Order: sequence, then C-alpha cells, then structure tokens
Amino acid sequence: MPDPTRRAVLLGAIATSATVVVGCSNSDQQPEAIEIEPTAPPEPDPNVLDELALIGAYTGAINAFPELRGTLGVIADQHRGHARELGATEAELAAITPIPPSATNIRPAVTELIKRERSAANLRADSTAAAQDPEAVRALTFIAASEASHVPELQDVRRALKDGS
Amino acid sequence: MTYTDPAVVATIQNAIRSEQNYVYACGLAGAQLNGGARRRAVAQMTARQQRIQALASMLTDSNVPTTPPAFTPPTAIENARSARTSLAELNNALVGVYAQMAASTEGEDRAFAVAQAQDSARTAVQWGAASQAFPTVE
Repeated sequence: MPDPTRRAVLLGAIATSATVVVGCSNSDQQPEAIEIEPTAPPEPDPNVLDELALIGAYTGAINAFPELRGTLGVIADQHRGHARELGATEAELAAITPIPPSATNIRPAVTELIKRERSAANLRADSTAAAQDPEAVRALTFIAASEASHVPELQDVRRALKDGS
Repeated sequence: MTYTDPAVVATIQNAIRSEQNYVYACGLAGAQLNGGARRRAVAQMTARQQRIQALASMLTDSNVPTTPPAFTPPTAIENARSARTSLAELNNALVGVYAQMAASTEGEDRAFAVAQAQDSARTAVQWGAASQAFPTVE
C-alpha cells in the first residue's frame, strides 16, 4: 500500500480540536471564544487507497521489467482513471511511490498483478453493496468490470512470456 | 424480488433484450468460428439463456420481453474476425446495461448485476477487445 497514513495524518491535523475566536467590530468588547467539538477524521476510502496501491504496483513492475511498459502502462493509466473517478486528487496521484514486485522473475511478477486485480475487482464489487448513491454504484460497477477484465489481459501477457521463453 | 417500479423494470428489460441479442449474435458467430472459439460461443449461448431466466424471474410475466425473431449486430458478422469483434462489442455494451441495473436495484439483485458486468467485461477481452477504464463500445 502506498503510504496510506499520509492521508490520515493530513485529515487528522485538520480535524483536531480547535478553539475559534470570533472577531467583533466593537473594539471595547472582548472576542468570544467558541469551543468546537473535535470531529473524527473521515475514514480514507479503501477503494481510493487500493487504486493508488495498484498504480504503485504497476509502476514498480514497469520499473523492474521495462519490456512490459506497453501493456502495463495502459492498465496503470486505467487505474489512474478509476482513482480520479473515486475522488483521488492529482497530488495523491503524483505522490504514489512505486511498489517493486516481490518476484525477481518476470512471469511471477505478472502473476502478482493478476492477484492484485482479482482482489481489486472483488473489493470494488463488494463496495457496491453498501453504496447509497446510484451514481456511485454505477461508477463502482464499471470499475469492478474493468478490473475483472484486466485478469484475462494479464493472463495473455503471461502466456506470451511463457511462449516466448 | 419481483420489481414493478417502471424505472427498475426498464433496466431489467434492457438487460434481457441485450442478452437475447447476444444469444442470437453467438449463433451467427458460431457459424463463422471454428474449434475452441466456436465451442466458447455455443457455451455462452447456454450461459446467457440462463442469465435471461434469472433476469426474467425479477419481473412479472407480463413485463418479460418476448424473444425477438432476429437481431442485426452493429458490426456485421461476416467472418471469424468480425464475429470476434462483434461479440466483444456486445459484451462491452452489456457492462453499461448491467451498471444501470446495479444502480437501480439492491441486495442480491445488485450483486447479480455487478457480477454480470464483470463477466461481460472479461468476456469482451477474451473475444479480443482491449480492456478499458470504463468499458463501453468504442
């Protein structure tokens, strides 16, 4: 996962307890202090975090195996589209750290990506159950479908590597 | 669940009609394909007919669309290549149909719609389409 705490830290800083001093036009009066109840930071969206992690994994795989840049780069761009649709900011996308594959060989590295895509497709599909807004359900369904379709695409890549070796 | 809300009924009817068209297209494609591709097209005819039955079970009998006598795919099926292209396009179109159904239903029926959207997108790639961030007919 790419630095999931960064978001939480920022949101936590914003949401800390605060005392606001309300200004007054009459300089003879003391400003009134209003205590504001601390608010819990919003939970980071697990789908956004997962999309950012996927992009990091693809970037790491491309860095390790530049010969896969063609197909993997296209899929990584699709995940950037998913992340934006789910609310990720450009700053978050720019701050993604590549995640190197744990495998040192190319085919197991592709297998790792297939597993990540399966997991992502399941998470997105599960998330539609709790979504209230129909537009959110629609978007999550499209993304769940896209990620499901990455599996056979990556399997083709892996098969071609096998055939070529 | 049996739906009677016209807006929801319309999305399920759209899914049924789209699947009926896909079944017909599989028949056309099967005549142009050979070997494993033909077997896949035939298997999908059966699988999609089961989907149609599952969708029909969500509607009252009077709301279930009748099977049309024929269907002309947007990409004419004239050879093996165009057969694959046509089936891929129809599957990508189905993703949007099921996304709409997912948005208008709840619970198990929504989960069903999402699963069919995923299967349709996978099938589009298996017929040779490139994956898309938001699968649709390009």
